[in-house]
Amino acid sequence: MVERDDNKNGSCWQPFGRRIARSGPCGFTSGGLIPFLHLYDALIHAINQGGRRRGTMAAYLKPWHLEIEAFLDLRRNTGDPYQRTPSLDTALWIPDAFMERVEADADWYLFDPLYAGDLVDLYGEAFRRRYEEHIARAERGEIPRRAWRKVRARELYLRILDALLETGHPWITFKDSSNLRSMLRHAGIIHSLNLCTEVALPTCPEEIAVCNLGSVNLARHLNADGSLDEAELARTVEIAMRALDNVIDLNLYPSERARRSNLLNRPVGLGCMGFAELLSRQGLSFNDPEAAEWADRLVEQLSFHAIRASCALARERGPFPRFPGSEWSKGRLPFDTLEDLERERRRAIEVDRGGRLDWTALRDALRAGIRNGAVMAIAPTATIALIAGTSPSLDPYFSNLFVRTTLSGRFVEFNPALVEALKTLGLWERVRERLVETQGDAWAIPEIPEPVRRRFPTAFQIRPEALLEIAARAQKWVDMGISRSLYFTSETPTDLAEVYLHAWRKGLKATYYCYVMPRMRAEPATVRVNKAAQRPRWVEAAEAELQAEAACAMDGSCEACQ
Amino acid sequence: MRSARGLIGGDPVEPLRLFPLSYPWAYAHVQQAKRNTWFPEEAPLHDDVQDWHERLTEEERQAVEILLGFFNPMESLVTSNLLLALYPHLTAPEVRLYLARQAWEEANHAMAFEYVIKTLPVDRERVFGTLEEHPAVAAKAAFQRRLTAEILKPDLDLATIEGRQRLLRNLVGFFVILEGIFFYSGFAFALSFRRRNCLRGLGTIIDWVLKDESLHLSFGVHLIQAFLQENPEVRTPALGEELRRMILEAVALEEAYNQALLPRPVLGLHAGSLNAYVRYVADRRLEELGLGPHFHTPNPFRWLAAEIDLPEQVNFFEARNVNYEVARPRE
Repeated sequence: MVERDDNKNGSCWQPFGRRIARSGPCGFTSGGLIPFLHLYDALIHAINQGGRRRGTMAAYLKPWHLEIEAFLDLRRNTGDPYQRTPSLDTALWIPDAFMERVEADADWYLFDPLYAGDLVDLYGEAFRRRYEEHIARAERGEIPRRAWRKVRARELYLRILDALLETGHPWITFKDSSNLRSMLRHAGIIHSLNLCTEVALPTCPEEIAVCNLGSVNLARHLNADGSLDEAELARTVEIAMRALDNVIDLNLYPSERARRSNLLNRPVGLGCMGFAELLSRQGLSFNDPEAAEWADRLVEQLSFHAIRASCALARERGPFPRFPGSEWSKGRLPFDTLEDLERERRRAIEVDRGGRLDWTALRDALRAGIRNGAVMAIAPTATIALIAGTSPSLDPYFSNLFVRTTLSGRFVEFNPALVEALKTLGLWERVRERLVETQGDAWAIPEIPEPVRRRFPTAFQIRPEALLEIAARAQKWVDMGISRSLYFTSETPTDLAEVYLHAWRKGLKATYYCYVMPRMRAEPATVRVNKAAQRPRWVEAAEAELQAEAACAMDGSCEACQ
Repeated sequence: MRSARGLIGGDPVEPLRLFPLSYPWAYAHVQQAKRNTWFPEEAPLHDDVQDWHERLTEEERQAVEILLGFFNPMESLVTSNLLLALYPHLTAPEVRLYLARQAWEEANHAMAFEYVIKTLPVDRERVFGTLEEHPAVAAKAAFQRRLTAEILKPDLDLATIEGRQRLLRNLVGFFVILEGIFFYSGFAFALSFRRRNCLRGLGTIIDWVLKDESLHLSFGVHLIQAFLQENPEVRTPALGEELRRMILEAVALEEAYNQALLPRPVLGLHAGSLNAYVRYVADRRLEELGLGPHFHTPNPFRWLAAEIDLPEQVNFFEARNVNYEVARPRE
């Protein structure tokens, strides 16, 4: 439940090849950002987390950094290995100004941080203003020619998505919504998220952010008739918040800077898991509009009870030291900050606003104090969901039958609701093998009646817009962030471009993994594929690329044609 | 006179003239192969080294050494066969394009196993001497070398039925037997370690090699069938019987190899179960050639479903995600 959050923030490093003219008589050249990241990459292998997990680290970079292109190449499998970081995760910390310029097909300027370093500590309207001033300075010749560059925003955006498709990195996260929707704006700037992109806390040279995370298993809060057991959920949240708050005091801190930050802000991140299982048990699929309704309603409940519990803890134990001046102290709630984002972005955030609970009463309680500066974050919960035997986070089942690879090994997982449905229909024994053959794709098994199989898409059969809608509805209630993975069958960056713009317009703070379905698979070892019925996806795709009329001469009659 | 756009019989040094394609499936295989591009250094072996020291028994270490000592030179035999025996005779341009690509992949595999050999604290001299030291390994190599030598004999004449049957034997010997049988018990053995969460870096390399070999096998089966379609006269009952004998001989060689690999059982595996798996795989290959199964052995390794068949969701910060493909160019 405890996670260290000390991600490296790279934007202050000297960019490659810049002559440090003012730093000494020799005029020596900085090696830039990449060699330092390579150093951290090596460090990951030297350090593990108590032998249980490999060491991990994520590097966040702002897309106005002069070395952005080299950063995008960090995870590629070709090129000078010293310019690569095979183990370091990478993420982009994107300001609204970039997405606006992508939309408008405008120019984007890259700067050496030596000449534009103040951008690191700005966000929203203030960032936009200062960024434009730097552009004007550059165009007037006030910044040395080698310390800035002009590119087309859209071209850079597509290059980012290229890298994402090919290497799964960098993750796309949004700096302005993360900062503008923080309840701790008075406590400093959020310079990056954590490794899993759900913790959004301020950092500075004196303070390293730490967050204590816990997740409620939603699937365990259903009544026998399938409805939500709201009283039980409230009770669970109350206990969880007390436990998380205790952790802050009982924890061992690796550094004084981490301890200091944690005791001043007392942040906790309550999240959830089991959403996909819950939906399956309701007979719903992620593609149904009701899925977003459920996410909205569930996360509202979590948020409401978490805030209420933290207020109760404040009455008992006192508010967090930085409570005065926080958004909380103004009687504001996480969803109120949507207004701040809209104001600074100068446009509406495309998310439904309705709520069902009595938030007005909670505002009064808030003014008296809240125990925790941050309350909610929805983490990926990959490992704990596996232990709890449910689906992770707000994520769908990757497939109805799949393997999860973790540090502890490979584990077969399946969608239990599908298995139950098939058993009820008396189909399970008949289609079990078929499910291995189709790699868990129930839609590809015609023996399963349509009304049943449509309820069980794989993650790749869920529209990305549906996943974004769920995240946006949940993010409304969450004061920190949500790890939102996306799944694509498409192989072109232009197809992804609209999806990530959509994520930004809906006010998400972050996206996480970008899974791309591999086109080809190895020959299955344990099942014989129905050779007559299927042609390999990659032969079809390659032939479509070819636009050749001739088809595979063997009409799928070979074993490896699956 | 054979058409210049047939699989064989073209001018062997004619410059590449790809379009219009006669064999779109061959070109499709080239396109997919490009996407599957990988390099050995992408698989981190840090944890494997630790496993070697802390978890493997002496028997397991020796078995892994034999495995590496087999794969490393064996991949080079395929390269030689592609370049010396097949490339001169198969003249269809898109087929040659794939052969050239495959030759690179085989070289990449040889380098991948070398990368493992030079990273793990194995007895390198012993590993590089595996062929000489283990008769069962040498016998498999000799089987393949014989097939290549047959094509290199000066009396080969593809204008005759006998000559074209010889070529077909080579195709079956390399694409079906070597790629589709000889490698498979090694794959299963290597993946049995990953099943115990051990040697995961090697497991990743095996994943990639297996994906490549699946493509080679697929290409080979397409090629063989196209060849038979163009040259129906080579398809005699006698040849069918001969191919069947070849496969059964290969199974016997493989069983001797399994015995050398695992003279005594290791955790979860023994030579007998590997033999059963080889028979199961051999039946598949026989069926693919339209020859009918011989052994009717069920697959003893149901656990391979989790290692090979099912889609994999990776926690990026716990394991390397190796499922991304090289992106296609942007339109």
